[in-house]
Amino acid sequence: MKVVKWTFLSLVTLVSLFPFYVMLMMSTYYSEDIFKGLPLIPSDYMLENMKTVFKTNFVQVYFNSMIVSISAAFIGVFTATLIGYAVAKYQFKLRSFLRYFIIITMMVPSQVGLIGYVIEMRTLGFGNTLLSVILIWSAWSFGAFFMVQFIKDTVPNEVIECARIDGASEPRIFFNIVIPLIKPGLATLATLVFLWSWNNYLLPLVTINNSDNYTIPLFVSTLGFVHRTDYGARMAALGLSTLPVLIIFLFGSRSFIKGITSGAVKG
Amino acid sequence: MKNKRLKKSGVTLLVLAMMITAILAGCAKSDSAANRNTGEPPSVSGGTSVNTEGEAPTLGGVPTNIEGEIIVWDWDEAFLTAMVPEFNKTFPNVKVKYTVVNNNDYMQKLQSGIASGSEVPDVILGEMNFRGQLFDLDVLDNLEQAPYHFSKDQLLDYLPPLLSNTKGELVGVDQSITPAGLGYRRDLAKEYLGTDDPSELSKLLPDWNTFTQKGVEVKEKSGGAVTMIASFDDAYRVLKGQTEQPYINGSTIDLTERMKAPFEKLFTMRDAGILGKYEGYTPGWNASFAKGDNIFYPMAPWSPKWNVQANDPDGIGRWGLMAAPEGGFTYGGTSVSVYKNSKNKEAAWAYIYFCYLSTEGMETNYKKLGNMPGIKSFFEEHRDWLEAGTELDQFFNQNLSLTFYDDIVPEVTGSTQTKYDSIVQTAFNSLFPLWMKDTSIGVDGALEQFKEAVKNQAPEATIN
Repeated sequence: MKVVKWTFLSLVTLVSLFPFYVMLMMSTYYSEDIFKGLPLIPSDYMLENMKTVFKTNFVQVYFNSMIVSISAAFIGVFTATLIGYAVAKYQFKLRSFLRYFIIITMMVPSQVGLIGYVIEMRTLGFGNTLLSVILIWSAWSFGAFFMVQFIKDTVPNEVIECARIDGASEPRIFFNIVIPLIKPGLATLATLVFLWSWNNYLLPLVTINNSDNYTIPLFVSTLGFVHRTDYGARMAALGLSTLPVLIIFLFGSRSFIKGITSGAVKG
Repeated sequence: MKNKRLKKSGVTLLVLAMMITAILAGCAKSDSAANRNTGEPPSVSGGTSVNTEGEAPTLGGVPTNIEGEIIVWDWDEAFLTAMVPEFNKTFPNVKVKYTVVNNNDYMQKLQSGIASGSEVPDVILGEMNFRGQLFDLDVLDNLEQAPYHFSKDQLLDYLPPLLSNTKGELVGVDQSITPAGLGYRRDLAKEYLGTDDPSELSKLLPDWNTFTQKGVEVKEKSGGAVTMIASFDDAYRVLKGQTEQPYINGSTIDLTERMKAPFEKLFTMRDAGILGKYEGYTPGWNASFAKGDNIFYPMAPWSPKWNVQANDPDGIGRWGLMAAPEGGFTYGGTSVSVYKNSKNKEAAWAYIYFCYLSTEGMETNYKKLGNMPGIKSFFEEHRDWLEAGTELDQFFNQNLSLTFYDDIVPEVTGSTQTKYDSIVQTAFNSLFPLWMKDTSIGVDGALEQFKEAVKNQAPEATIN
């Protein structure tokens, strides 16, 4: 039985890692040689591709993406948690309206609000800056929805009541009691925002006009592409940009999976 | 407690109101960039001219001491890094702020910029794939009016329709002319067709019927390993380009009349098995240049660099260029225009004039980058430049510029692009892979599918 399990797991692992492997191998090839066959063995063009990537402002772009994704993760998770906590644990007027409002906004495709958002950012004076790519996560309906459900399921009302009776202030209850209880949820949400903002293409495309403020997906799309697409260099850049995401997932995977599955079975 | 709740909902409402106000305020003030330039009518001439009153010299009617900042969105960074410093030697006070934008995203970014009132470039590029869509947006200035006063008559004869919108206004100049013929592998031509000489080949392949017959012979000789044209869409590009004629009238698209003739030839080629299995501009297609399993490729002046040199860097002397059977066509190309609401129209025009039209700019743009401007005077005045050849000629063992200008330009025709041209192209792109593979679909069946696909994307149009 164990053999079957391990064979199956290895097979699935192999299948899911294969595209990454091919991406890494492709980054060692001269672009036009990539498609002559399936690139499984490394070639000798890695250094040249790296040179093509680093000849540009890749370091700056990498830094931009880091700033954007880390800030987005903080802001996104913070506001989502506040909303989630309020809706899940407080009784106030329009509470159920707010819940439905969150769900309804989730159903509207984000592209619909794009122009409005760009106008908003321009009016606030954040057009053409990284802020416009970060702030979109500050009002993030999926995050709020996720947190409402998560807090409802994982934070017992009794704990909050006890804290209140013991004289803790509302912010203190939130920061010292609730936050530690929902750590897996926070980690899950932070990972999701990080990934999504790291890979976001459309928003930076329409809001950022200055190549110094480009993020990685935009940068990759403008790397060696005039009539001839330099796939080798693109793969090298993508390989480099996948690394942090991979590392984050590896470290966060335990709580990530815990977060995603929690609430699935009610205790 | 109740008070607290009331306070909370009050704050929520206040925040909501603030956000709505901010959004509405954004809509209100996007009109500030009105046309401020009336400008004096400048004389359009080749070189820099000095004003009689001892003022700064002018180029393209724009004083070289003009000040300002212009925004340019371009996808060719090599062009920008080479040309902008040159431009600033003549116009030192114009600051060019450029952004590299992928041509596939260009329209989306431009439309979002216009719609949201945020940054829009002063100099706008229109690649052939989306040119009709861009021209129909009505955001480009008429270059025959102030402050540009450029005249259509200066352009090569086939160009004005390609650079005009449906109102007949000239809204762009050509980045580089794109008359096209067929490039071919000399080694394969010699082996399978008996000659690698362009004029001999032209005699051997006077029309598409003969071309197809010869193709069948090549196929048999090579045991099916060598094809005449690498992809179905390559052949379509040539055949469609050769039969260029207006077929879109307002919102009526005469698709059947337009496509029937080229489709008949195209499907005959497919059925004869002389077309390769590749789809154009896929990695496999790129690799086929060096691989040597196909003889002919459509080839415009930009192709030797971007297709041949890039895909077959060791192919020096391996290539040839000839006019296609039954005439020339245009292949790709990019228009360069001025944004209607630009605040620095004169500076934008100075940039366009310098880079794409003037002798001064062409010193770099033609000699280093190989772009040929679309004006007659260039070819009259600088015949010696053409004769001197370019670096890429070594791939072909022949003078490319002269072949393009002397043999192909006279045969080329162009027609005005509308947004429906972009739609027709998109519909074709989505359908042709099926037509390549499924040989049970004939011309009529394909045309029906084509019409349906266009109709889906342009429900308001009448499609015949």
